[in-house]
Amino acid sequence: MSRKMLPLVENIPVKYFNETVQPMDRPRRFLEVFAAVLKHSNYGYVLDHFSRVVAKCARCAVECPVYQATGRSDDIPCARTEKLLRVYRRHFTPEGRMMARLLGTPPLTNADIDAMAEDFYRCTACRRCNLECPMGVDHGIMTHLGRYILSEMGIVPKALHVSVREQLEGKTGNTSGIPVPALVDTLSFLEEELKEKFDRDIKFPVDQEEAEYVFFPAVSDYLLEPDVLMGQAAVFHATGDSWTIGTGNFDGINYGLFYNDRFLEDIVRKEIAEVRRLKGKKILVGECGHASRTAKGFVPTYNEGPPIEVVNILEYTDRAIQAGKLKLDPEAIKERVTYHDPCNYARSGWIIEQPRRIIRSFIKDFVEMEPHGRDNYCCGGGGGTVSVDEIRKFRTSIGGKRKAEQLRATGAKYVIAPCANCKKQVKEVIEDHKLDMELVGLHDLILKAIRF
Amino acid sequence: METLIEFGRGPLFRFAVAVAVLGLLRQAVLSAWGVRQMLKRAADNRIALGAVVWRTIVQLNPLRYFTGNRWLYSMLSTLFHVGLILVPVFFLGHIRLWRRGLGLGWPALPMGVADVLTIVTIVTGLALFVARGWAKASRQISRPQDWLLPPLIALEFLTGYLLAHPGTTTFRFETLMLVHVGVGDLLLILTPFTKIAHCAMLPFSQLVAELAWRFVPGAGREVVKTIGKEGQPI
Repeated sequence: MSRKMLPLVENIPVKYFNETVQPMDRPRRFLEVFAAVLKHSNYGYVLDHFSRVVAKCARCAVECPVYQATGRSDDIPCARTEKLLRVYRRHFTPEGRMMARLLGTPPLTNADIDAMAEDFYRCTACRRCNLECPMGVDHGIMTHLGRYILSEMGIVPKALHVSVREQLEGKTGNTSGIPVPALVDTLSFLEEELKEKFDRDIKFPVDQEEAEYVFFPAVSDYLLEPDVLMGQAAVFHATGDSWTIGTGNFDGINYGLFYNDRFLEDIVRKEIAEVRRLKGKKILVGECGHASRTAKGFVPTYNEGPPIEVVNILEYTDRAIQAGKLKLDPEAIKERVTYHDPCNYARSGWIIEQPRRIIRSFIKDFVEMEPHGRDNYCCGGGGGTVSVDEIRKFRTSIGGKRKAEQLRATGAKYVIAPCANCKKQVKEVIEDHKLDMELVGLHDLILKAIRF
Repeated sequence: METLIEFGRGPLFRFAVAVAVLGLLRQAVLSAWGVRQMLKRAADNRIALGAVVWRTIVQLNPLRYFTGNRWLYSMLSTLFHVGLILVPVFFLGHIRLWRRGLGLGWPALPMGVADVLTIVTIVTGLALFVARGWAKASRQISRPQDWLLPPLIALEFLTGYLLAHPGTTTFRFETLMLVHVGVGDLLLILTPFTKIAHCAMLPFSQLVAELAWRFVPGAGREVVKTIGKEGQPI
């Protein structure tokens, strides 16, 4: 059942949620799901702690690109978090229930649920606010939990819902709905392209057992980013390491991270199963940010067998350059280049220097955005919101406003946005803000510069 | 009034200290117990403790906030906290009270230093109140306690200063003492129930945030079983 939600911004009617629960039952259902989540997970301890330490200093507000653009109080991370904490305190703590009796604190209402559904999807889950919170409150996990509860009562953006359904229950088993024969065709086409370009047999190995690396890019790369894929294949050709793409699962995307722990787990387990089937050693994730974070962060949680190392392709290529295995022509790219840090691996400090070392190894005119690295601004499409085409105007004019300003200030010809979600969003930011620059992946440029 | 003051400095003070100490202890124990439970339930419970400790130190270092956004608010807040922590514990008059109430004593701050810290706390307490109202974002999200605590603390320090310098005021000594003792006891009693409790819980924050993303395997399946959605298609 489709349901009209509150407008995200003026003049943008939003009808992108699925909802299965009848309005009269919504507060009860929300509390049932919340109770079940508290019972079976660790969120209760987190809520307990955060609800006691929040100081309402509003430092997070100044860090949040969405609040910076709207000035709307509900966009302040602490205010959004408070919506969930209030429900927790009111309904799930003895103090809250006692205070409700004494002071008549109102219970959860339909309007509260509407407000949460809207606010938790205005947040891009970039966790920039977390960096500056003097109390150490992680508003990202609160957004995640809020979305999780809503999703189990059926409130979830259709775009995310459809993608995950196809990945976990669909015939193709991936978010872009690519059948295996189409994948194989694409790969052989790309091999021909590489042959034409380099006069070499550069392969995309498929279902090769016992390979060192089993490759999981964002599956959309197979449709939209052929140069990135060819760049990655060229790097492997140069290093000589064994790698493979598995036909059982070739999609690194994991939208469970954005809204539902159950799906997050199932998708990670599916990746692990494919590595086991192929007797591979390591998971190699493409340039995509959230795909990398989910594998790196959750394979150790859901892997029941021997440990599987998770490597991102930027780490891999960086190591190859450090080891002197790649020859990149410093004259190949003469234009000015800038680099956008995907929140999902820069915010934690995991992948910040690796891409910069790669870039500096062959690009002369590299300019940073300010701020960058761990402090970088989200592209505006984080947290899965980039999949929701209905809110493009919101994403680019509000969520992506700071990013557009940052990009314009660099004067760069190329902006490298490694992550698949960032790529789509930054491309739309460039279009909607009429910026004179081109979006590329890092391995796009490597493909232009690699020499054998 | 004498009787009230004596009550405030005697039994009520001991009660207020007990509430504050036991309340904070409870908060700290709950946080520690929560961390333990999270570690027990999470499948991936390897923690890079060094990194977490380092992040906690970084988070607690007030200087880092001086160059970022809201730098003025951060400086005010830091100065406010310095006086707030030192004066109640290390002012000579308070040490006498501690000794009387609890039988414990320790060296005192020089009077001049205590005076400066007291004035700084009063000024910054009031400035924090103004700053909270001044900045739209903090104004929008403030709870009653956020508005009340800084001026209440400033009042406590102001009455304390006037009591220590009786020549500077026309107020009656007993009135000032009653307000000072009463507000002091109130603040102690409020400590575990308001955001002042962060003093006991802050050291756990980074660890809690780290563990928050260590999920419990199979929890999602258990949730759908509990809510009666098991076996339903996505």
